[in-house]
This record gives sequence, C-alpha cells and structure tokens, in this order.
Amino acid sequence: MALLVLLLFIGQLWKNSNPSYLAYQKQFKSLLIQKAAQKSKDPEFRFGVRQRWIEKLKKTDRCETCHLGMEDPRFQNALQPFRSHPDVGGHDFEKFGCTVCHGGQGLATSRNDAHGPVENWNQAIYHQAFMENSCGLCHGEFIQDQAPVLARGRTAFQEHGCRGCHLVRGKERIIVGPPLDRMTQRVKSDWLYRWILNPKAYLPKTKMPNPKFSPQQAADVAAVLFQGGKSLEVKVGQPTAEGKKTFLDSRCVSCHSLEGKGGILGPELSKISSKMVPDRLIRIIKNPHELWAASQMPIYGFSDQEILKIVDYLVGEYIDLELDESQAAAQARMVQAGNKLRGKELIEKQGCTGCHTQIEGVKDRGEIGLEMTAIGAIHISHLDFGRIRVAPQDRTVPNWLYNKMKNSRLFKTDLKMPDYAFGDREAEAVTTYLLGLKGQEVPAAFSLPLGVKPSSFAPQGKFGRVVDKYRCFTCHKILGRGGEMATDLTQEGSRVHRAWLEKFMKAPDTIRPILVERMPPFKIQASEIETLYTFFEAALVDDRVENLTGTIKENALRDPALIQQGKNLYHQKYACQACHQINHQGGLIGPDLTKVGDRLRIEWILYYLRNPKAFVKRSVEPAFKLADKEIEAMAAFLVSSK
Amino acid sequence: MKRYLALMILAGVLVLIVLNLPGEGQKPGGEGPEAKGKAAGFSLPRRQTTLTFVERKGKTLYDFYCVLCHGATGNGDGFNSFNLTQQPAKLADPHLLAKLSDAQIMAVVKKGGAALGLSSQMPSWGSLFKDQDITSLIAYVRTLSKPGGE
Repeated sequence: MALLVLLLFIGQLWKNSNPSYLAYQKQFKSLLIQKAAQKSKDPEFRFGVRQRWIEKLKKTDRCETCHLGMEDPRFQNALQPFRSHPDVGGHDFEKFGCTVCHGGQGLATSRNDAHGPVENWNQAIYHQAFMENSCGLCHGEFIQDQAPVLARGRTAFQEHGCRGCHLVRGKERIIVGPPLDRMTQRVKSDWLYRWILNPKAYLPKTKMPNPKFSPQQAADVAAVLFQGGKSLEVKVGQPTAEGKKTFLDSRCVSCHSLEGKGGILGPELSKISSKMVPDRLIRIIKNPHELWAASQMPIYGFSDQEILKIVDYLVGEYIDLELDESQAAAQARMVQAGNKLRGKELIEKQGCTGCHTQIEGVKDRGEIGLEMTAIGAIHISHLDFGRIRVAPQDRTVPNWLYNKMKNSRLFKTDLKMPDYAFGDREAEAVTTYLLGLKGQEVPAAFSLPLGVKPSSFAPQGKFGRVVDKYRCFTCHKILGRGGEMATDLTQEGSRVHRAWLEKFMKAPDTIRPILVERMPPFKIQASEIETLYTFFEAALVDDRVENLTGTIKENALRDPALIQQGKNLYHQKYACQACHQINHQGGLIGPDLTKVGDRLRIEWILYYLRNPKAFVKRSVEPAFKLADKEIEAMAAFLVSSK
Repeated sequence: MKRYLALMILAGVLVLIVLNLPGEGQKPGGEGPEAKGKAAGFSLPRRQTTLTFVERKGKTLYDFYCVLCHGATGNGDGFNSFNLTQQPAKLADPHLLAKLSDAQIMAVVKKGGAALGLSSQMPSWGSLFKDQDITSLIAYVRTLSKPGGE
C-alpha cells in the first residue's frame, strides 16, 4: 500500500514538473537560440508560467506562457503559437492583456483549455471572423471604420428590426415595417398571399424575413390582414409617353428598383400593377407621409393630372408577366376563405407585431423574443443545438449564433423566429454584433468611444417643414443627423451661391457622377427654396470660410496671367482632370468643375484648396499641400472657367 | 495472490496517470477553428481572408483610395482608369512588382508620379497617409501579384 502511495506521489510530481506548455517553451527556447546565434549572444530564457493580471478588467491572462514571441518582432513570420502580435496601435498588452479582445480562458495553461470550448468554462476563443465584437466594449456603439464588420452587423440588426422582438436594455425599440391597416384599399389579395408565403420571391432584396407559413396558414394570415373597406374605383387610362417621361425624369429609380436595378430604399416597381390598387398608388405619390409617417419618400410637387399619368404608366407597363391569372384567382379565393381566427392566432404567436403596427384586431405584445442584452456572454449550455449533431470543438456560442442567422429554423423547426436567410457575410456581421452585446461596461479609464453619435437635430418652423416634406435627411446630413448618400449640408451656406441653389433645386443636374443616387427634381416651390437658402445662409455656415470675405482681391483673380498659371497647375502639376471634369473632359470621381464659380463661393474655393479635409473627411481626394500663390492661381482659374 | 492483486492495481493506476499526462503531440502551427465537424446544414464561418493583419489594414486603404484607378485586382482597370491619359500601373503584374523595391513604392505613393518623372495623374498622398499606413499598403499591394492572392 505504501508503495502505491509513493508511486502515485512520484507520478503526480512528474506530471507537475511537465506541464503541457513546457513542450512549447522548450521549442521556443531552441528557436530563440537559433535566432540569437546570428548575433552570437546567449538568450535569456526562464521556464515557467507567464501571467498578466489586469485588475480593473478582472482578467488574468496566461496566454504568453505559450505565445512567447508576442512582443518580439523577430518572430513576425514564425508559426503559431510563437508569432509576434501585429501592431494594433495603442493597445498596450500591459494595460489590456489578451482575453478582453480575443476571448478564451486566460487562466488556462494548455492549448485545449485556453482556446476552448471546455465544458463549464464559457468563453471559446473568437474566430478571426468575429474578433471585432470586442471593439465595442471600450469603443462604444458608434464605432465605424475601425471595426467595419461590427458596424455592418449593427446596421443589419437595426434595419432588419431585430429590436422589435428582442429586448436590448438601453436601446430603443424600433418598429421597421409599414403599418398594415386598410389593406383592401392598398394591395391585391392574391399578391398579399404570395408575399406572406415568401417575400423574397417577389423582392429578393427585401428585409422582410420568411415567416415560413404553410400555404393554408399564409391564406389565414392574409385573410386577417385583408380588411379595411373598399377603395375608390379609379379609371386607369392607357400608358402615355408623357407619363413615362414624368416617371423617368423624376428619378424614381434613385430609391426604387426596376427588375432589381436601381435604389434600395423603396419597394420594387417592375411588377407594381400586380400588387397595388391604383387608387393607393395615386395617394402614395400625392402624400406618402399621410399613409405612413415614417415613410422616406418625399412629397413631390406633382399636379393631380401628372400623378394620374404616372399611375397610368406604372399600371400599364409594370406587370408581373410570370403571373398565372387562374392561379392568382385561386389564391384570392383562398384568402377569401381563410380562417380569420386561426390567422389572428398565428399573427400574435409568430410576432408579426415586432415589425408591423395597426393590424386590425391584433394587439402588440411587445418583445416576444429572447432578451439580447447580454447574449454575447450567454453560456453555451443555454443554447440548444437540437437535432443537429455538432462536433464538441464546434459547439460554441459564436458558431450557434452564426448558424441561427443563416437559418433560423436549423436547430428546431416549430420556432417563432422567421427566417432571415442571411448570407455568409451578413451572418458573420450580425453574429459579431450580437457577441458584442455583453451587458457589461468597462471602467471609465478604458472607455474610448469612437465614431460619431447621430445628433437629434430636429429643425422646426418653416425650414423644418420643408426638410420634412422632402425628407432631406434620407440622403443628406445636417448638423450630425441624416444619411451619408449625398453631400453633408452643414456648411452649405458657406459653400454655394444663392442663384445656383435656386437653379439646382428647380432642375438638379449631376454634380457627382460617381454617385448612383441622384437628387430627384421635387418640383419644389420658389418660396420653399427661399426658406432653405435663408436658413443655410444664416445658420449653416462656417466662420473660418466667412472670415475670408474681406481679404479677397477680386481684381487680382481676374488677371489672365494668374489664370494661365492656375490652368497649368490644374492640368499639369496636380493633374486635377484625372478625377474632375471641366466641359466633359476628365475623370468621373470628383464633382464636375464646369462653371464651378457659379456654384461655389470664392471664399469656399480658397478655404477648401488649403484644407481639403476640413469638412469632408471621408473623401478620396488627395490632400496636396498647395502654396498660397498656387491656391490663388488655382482659384482664379476655377472661377474663370465658363 | 494478494501481492498480485496489489501489483495489478498499481499497474492500473500507473496507466491511468500516464494517460492523463499532456500529449507530446502539440506542435506549433496547428489551427483549430476550421476543423471538420460537418453536419447537415451546420456550417462554420469560413475564414474570409488569408491576409495578415497588416495586409488587411493596407487593403482597407487600397479599397477606398487606390481601387478607383488601379482596380480591385490591381489590373490597372479601375472605374476611373479609362478617363486617364496613361493607364495606371498594373499592380498585379509580378514582373513590375519584382522590379520595385518597397522604398520605391513608398516614394511614388508619398510624392506622387510627377515628382519621379511618372504620370502626374498619380497624386501625392504624403500629407494624408502616415508612413505606417503606406507600409501596410505596400504589404497589401505585394499580395496582388502573388498567385492565388486576392
């Protein structure tokens, strides 16, 4: 017996003196000797555990016990675990450690335990794909360019209305879908049935997920939605060339697509007559905001006659040619015979109210999905892999979420969550965002928010009404609020001449050929342009530009010699024509500079040439360091171009 | 008989201890996450790129600034290349890249084409990019001419 105990003791001793990391450390030491030999100096190497204790983050990381070359640039191309860590500017290892970004078990000293997954030890290491989830912990929820995958995931999470069903504490619930009232006055019942059955079949780019209803269920749900009284009968005339012209000239395709080509903000129009009731089309074009307050569509200044002509054209030309009439009639009958009681039950149970309001007779039951506040810190044992057999090393939280995003019904069939069918790229982004929701905050010393928080600028009064009517914020940013699609208007008063704005607003021409979206001709009234410019001029200016006003020598700028000098600079030294056009000559990246003096104020041109990145930070424009004389010459040439 | 039993137990315990020991088979270079584990419908996130961290940083810059003329694959066929009087350098061409040292590429990016007697349509980026940015850009540009590169 005594012998047995002794042997056990010896065995344990041996085991302790031979920890799993020792093999790595021996290997590393021999590599170190090799590398040092070139300098004929004996390396110092101490065997044993390396540990960093990051007290404030409550992290204890022993990763460097094996990742020995981390801070040694000589190991730049070494195989793992010895490769040196890339320079990630400012992320001092001493301050942050490893696991706060990478995940994994900091305390472990064997490869499997450290990288996981290990039973009852939660944190599997993040794959390269999901790494960016950790960035938000210190850098806040508006981080953009520094963590592009995370930023994409955040946008997808918002735009797909995930927050409608899933509670995330501290984030406002947003209902993204349109209200569903008075559907009889809006769409055709057979279309509604097909849409509910599979939205992507009609519009591949739609954000509406597939609720995975059976045909009968889809008919029942459609029956509930298809209520709301009769719509006005409208006599639809033959499509006319006039209607076509108005439709095309109005640049509807900036937002709407035709057979998949065009913008993505509005619904597809190429099969619109098989979907919409003509009266509704008329009313949408007339005033979309009255029907859906959150609609992004501007109110055009069309006359009633023009609207009728557009609708004639849409209804007459954009028909679903693949639609089988008898099948459509059968679908309409199915909806008519649908069981409203069952449909209502389905709508409530499946959570349609997470995205849609105003469904007749159905109450919003709030967030019916799982709370997501700390989904990134969930223990793997809470996630059910169901009928799918997954190898133990792949049973991780990131992998579960990733697959759920790609197919919401993968693990279990009779679930409520509809199928978003995200592709690899989107699933990766959304998973990254979800993993970042950890429901915890770092100490203030670690917090360094990046990116820009959108402002809540809400203009009131006359100017506010114009901005609201034309939904300027959809594309333009003003004082920190609005879209990225078009020019930021925050300094518009310092930038453009009143006369140019008046002309442009009446008939917008193309300034930036590289943009896909075009400013639509709204048929705006003269008084509204006046309101816009008055506000621009008074409030949307930058004093650094305005202060130049007294300093400009107008006469000197008209000097032909100076103009010629500027012309040479433009065409030869700086080759501006590589990106800009003047009279159809030149590249298509920057704005067209033909008659740019009519558009831009001279103060703006001068200031811009000196500090091209002062206002437009995310532009591809190179920043030349022009001498004062060069700036003057260039400005003289630009304003002289007619 | 008792002795034999004791020995047997002892042997058994020893075997257990040995089995419990760390494997000697741990070798550097082994990577875990993309392991097999295929089940119907279940998929693991594919590693999107084989680029290193520095190359990825360079790619971010390239895809924003350079791509417009030099093209996504470095064939000198970017969207704006057709408006230039001289075709942009084909960065995917291994012969061209073999001739250029890092310092030479750095100089062109920093000072622009005109300063080196090349096309003035290549602007100077020196005041916009830090040297570190250009180093990562060069690292990425070098991957364009490698077979199987991105």
